[in-house]
Amino acid sequence: MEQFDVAIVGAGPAGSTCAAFSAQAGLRTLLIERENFPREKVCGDCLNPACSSVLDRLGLGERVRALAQAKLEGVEFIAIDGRKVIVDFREKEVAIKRSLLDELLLTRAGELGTEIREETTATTLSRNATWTIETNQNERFCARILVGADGRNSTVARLCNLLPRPERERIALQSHVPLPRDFGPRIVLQFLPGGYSGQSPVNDTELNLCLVAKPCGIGALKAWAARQFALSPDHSWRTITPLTRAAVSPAHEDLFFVGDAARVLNRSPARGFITRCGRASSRPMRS
Amino acid sequence: MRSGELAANAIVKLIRGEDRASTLREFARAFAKLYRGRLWINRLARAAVLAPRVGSFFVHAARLNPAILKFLTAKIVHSL
Repeated sequence: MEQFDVAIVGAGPAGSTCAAFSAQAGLRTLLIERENFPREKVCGDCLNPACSSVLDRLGLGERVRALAQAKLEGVEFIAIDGRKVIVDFREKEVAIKRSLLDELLLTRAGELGTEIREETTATTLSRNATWTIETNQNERFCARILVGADGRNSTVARLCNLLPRPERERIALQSHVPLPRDFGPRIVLQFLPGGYSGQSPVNDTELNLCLVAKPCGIGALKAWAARQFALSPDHSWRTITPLTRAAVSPAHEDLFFVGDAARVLNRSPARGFITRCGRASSRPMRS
Repeated sequence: MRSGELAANAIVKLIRGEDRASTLREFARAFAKLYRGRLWINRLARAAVLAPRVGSFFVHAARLNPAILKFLTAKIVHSL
């Protein structure tokens, strides 16, 4: 069985960043990812300018700037009745498709020495002196520290009986659609009778379009979006639910949660655009 | 990304044998600080769905006094 200092489950920005810095510090690092990259994700696609210092510390500043992206100058809030307020950013914010950014971060983690397993899911976790991770690929790994970076529906949290009960009060849909002419370098947060829509250019030709509504109202928002952006009836959307659940403590004894797995912020266009502490059981926890 | 970096820093300390309790405490404190003052967007996003007119009223209010919306937006995009 391969032994690691740290095993990280989930190769989104938080997981890959954690892996990259761990490997950079000389730790034997394993990164397990369910998907095969590149892949898209339900997200507003905007990159907080404050992330640039993290990217620089990873040696990625130039490579991120070379990715296809949109530079955004402000956010326009639109009320239900169409009235608007525009807030300019102090410095330009950028939007980059998650397929590009996440793949770059994963690549960097690998360059720094992280052992990467894509299309791999943790199916069983057990903890004695160290963590043992079994996967759907019939591999077993051992790690001194485990990190759950696998999103708001974290498998790690679920296997450790730490996943709070979700509230299925809202549903989010996301898609990339053709960028309307004259859309401008701005984010739009538009309040609608049944929910809201977030819109942001991600490059010269595509718009990130998000819709959030109660489950019973999402059909009306899809119809609105179809009219507004001339989408075909069979337009495909990515989705995520639930959007609401209580936070998980980020720090446990040999277990950390980062990014959405700690669920401090909602996974929502609004966010993208702009302890319960306990020892995990030593018995196996199965997916 | 920043939460991943914070965790990595703490993990490196733990693997190198530094004091566990203080390392975890320091990480939890830094993690909480990362999001302090930015959670209003959660409440606004939730209100926008569960009570859309509340979110819309927020925009109307901001037309009269845009300073608050500018301040809150800056908290989202310029903190860390």
